Amino acid sequence: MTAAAANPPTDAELASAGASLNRLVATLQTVLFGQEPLIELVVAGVLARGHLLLEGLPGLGKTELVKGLAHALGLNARRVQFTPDLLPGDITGNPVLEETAAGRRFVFQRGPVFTNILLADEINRASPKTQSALLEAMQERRVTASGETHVLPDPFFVLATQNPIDLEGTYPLPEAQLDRFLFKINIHANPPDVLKRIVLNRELGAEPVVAPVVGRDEFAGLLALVRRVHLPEVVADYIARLVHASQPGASTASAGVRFGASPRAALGLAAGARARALRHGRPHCSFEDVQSVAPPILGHRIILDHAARLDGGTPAAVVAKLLAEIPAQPKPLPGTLAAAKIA
Amino acid sequence: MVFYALRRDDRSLDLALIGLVMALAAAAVICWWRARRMFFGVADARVLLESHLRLDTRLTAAQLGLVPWPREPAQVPAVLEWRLRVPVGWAAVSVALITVALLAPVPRDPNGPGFAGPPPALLQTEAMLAALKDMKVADPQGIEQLEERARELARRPAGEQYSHSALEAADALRNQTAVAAAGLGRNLDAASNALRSANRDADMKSAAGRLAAALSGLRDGTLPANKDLLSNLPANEADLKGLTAGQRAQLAQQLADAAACAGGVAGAAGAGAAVARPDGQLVDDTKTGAGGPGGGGESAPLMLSSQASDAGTGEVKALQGDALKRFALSDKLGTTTGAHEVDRDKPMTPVSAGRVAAPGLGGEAVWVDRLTPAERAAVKNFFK
Repeated sequence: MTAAAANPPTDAELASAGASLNRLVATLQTVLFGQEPLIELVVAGVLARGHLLLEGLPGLGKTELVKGLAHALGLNARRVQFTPDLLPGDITGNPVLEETAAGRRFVFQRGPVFTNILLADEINRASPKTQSALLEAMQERRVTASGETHVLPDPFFVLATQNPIDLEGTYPLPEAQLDRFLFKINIHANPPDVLKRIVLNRELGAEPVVAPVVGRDEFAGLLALVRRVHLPEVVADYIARLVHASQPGASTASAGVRFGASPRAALGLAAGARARALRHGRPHCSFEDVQSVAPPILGHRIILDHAARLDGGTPAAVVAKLLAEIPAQPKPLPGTLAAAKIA
Repeated sequence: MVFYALRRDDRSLDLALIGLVMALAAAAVICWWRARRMFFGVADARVLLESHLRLDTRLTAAQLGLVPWPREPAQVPAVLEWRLRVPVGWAAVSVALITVALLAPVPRDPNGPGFAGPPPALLQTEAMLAALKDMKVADPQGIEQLEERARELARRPAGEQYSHSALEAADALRNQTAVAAAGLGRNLDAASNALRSANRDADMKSAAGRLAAALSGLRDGTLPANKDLLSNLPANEADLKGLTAGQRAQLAQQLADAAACAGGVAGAAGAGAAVARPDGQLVDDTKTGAGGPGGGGESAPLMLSSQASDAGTGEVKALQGDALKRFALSDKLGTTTGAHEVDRDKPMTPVSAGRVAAPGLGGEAVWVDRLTPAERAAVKNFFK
């Protein structure tokens, strides 16, 4: 039995966490209308300590959601509007010459990355050099400048947005950096009833007021609780088979895939499944948790070849095929059982 | 089928039962070996239920002690079903077949299945031996030996009378009896001819020699002549001269009659089914190669012809008179001498050792002999 299984969340802890998360979700729903699944994914991503990439058309509330999340969690948040002339030092910080009574010396001036939640708005508009400046910060949660390493605050999240249109002058994120985002969440246009609610409850230029509903310590407790959620071996096996099947030639569903998901994707699936299980008040995660978080985790990690893209294939379709093809049970069903009612 | 066949032949079923048990055991091992890959353990079944009923791994978590076991539903959904129709059907059919094979009545034929009575060859042998015994010219001891072998074959079980080995043995005994009877007839005929020639020729020495040779054959043949008969025949020239011409003629006639009877026995054996006629009468047919009833009757056009032939390279001695009647298998019928035709006057040039008389043509030989027309055309076009 693993450490998580030896010390799983108790019912009381689960109930307390559920109440806190309900408050957080309810608050975010006042910020972003009609996007409940999106909010659930964002909360799961944050609980899994993952960085999120939100992709959608302008004006859908991506920035508002991130700002609302920061306010609701009572964490420090900074927003950086990525532009082509943005320099890495503008993100991580720069050494500046400081003159004191003892003389002149360089002092590291911390950049906006030193915060709990970094909102990287329209990240694909920055140059690759600037984008790569985030790599160390996102993966190792620290910044090295002038030979000195500076640890970022805990927790640290990068919530980035990017615009899928108006791609002139943009720099698509490299695969290495995409892989560092736990979720890539697509935000779709709102239906009429949601638009009606937005019109009735909002005014142009007036940001919604969001009060902190989950304290910093409480949020830290939630993050610790997520790690205690038990991941059964059968679910881990399912994750492994799912990720392996995304490799080219490893399954029928991976036809047309040039590069499959990485081991980091498998870790992301486990973390996302744990977060979703906690959100649903369970001390253990399930196949359904994995299947629920698989599309935003695997979608941006699967690279299709040219032929598949010309045929209209999408990574999302490949993920859907993977989920349909890979069974939860590790052992293939006998033919008679597969033909039985249960299958 | 094996059980039924064994019961029909009145054989023991023990070995068949042991074989059945071993076959069932082997089939069980093979089935287990092939099915073990499809065995589904408890953990596999638990995951299967969780995934298909979307239980959020509740059962696995309960097994780990994380959550309590869910209550058993009042009515368990029919998620599994047994497919016993095929295996039970096969088993039922197998048991039914074995039961029928063990219990079905077996038809009992007192004469045995298939053929009734001893094989025809054995009947022919017995008929020939009976005829020889009636003639009273053959040695009873020799006849008794052949009869004992015939009785030994007749004592075999009815089911084995028509086995391959039994039929082979009966045929061999029939042929041996026929050859022995024919040899006896030839020797009797030779003795009769010697007595007649003694009456014709003034010099009885040659007749006495032929008679001695015939007596030797009668005494030492496969089927010897009766000892009483041998004792009544003149053994040498003096005995031959001691008989009057009338006595020699009468004795010659008796021997000729006996030879005809013995030859008839042999001919009847060669006549095949004629011996096995329902009336049991032998066919008095002494003609060589008479064949079956109503068939043949003329000399077979064999190479042992009475007409001399000369292929030009040697000399063939023709068989004279009725000599063809007197020979049996393995007897030497004649000799042929010949020589190579060598033209010693033909001029010869010196020939060195190892000289190749017909040297190969190399690629041309391949070109001519090995290539198909299409291949030849392709090669020709290539070199063009």
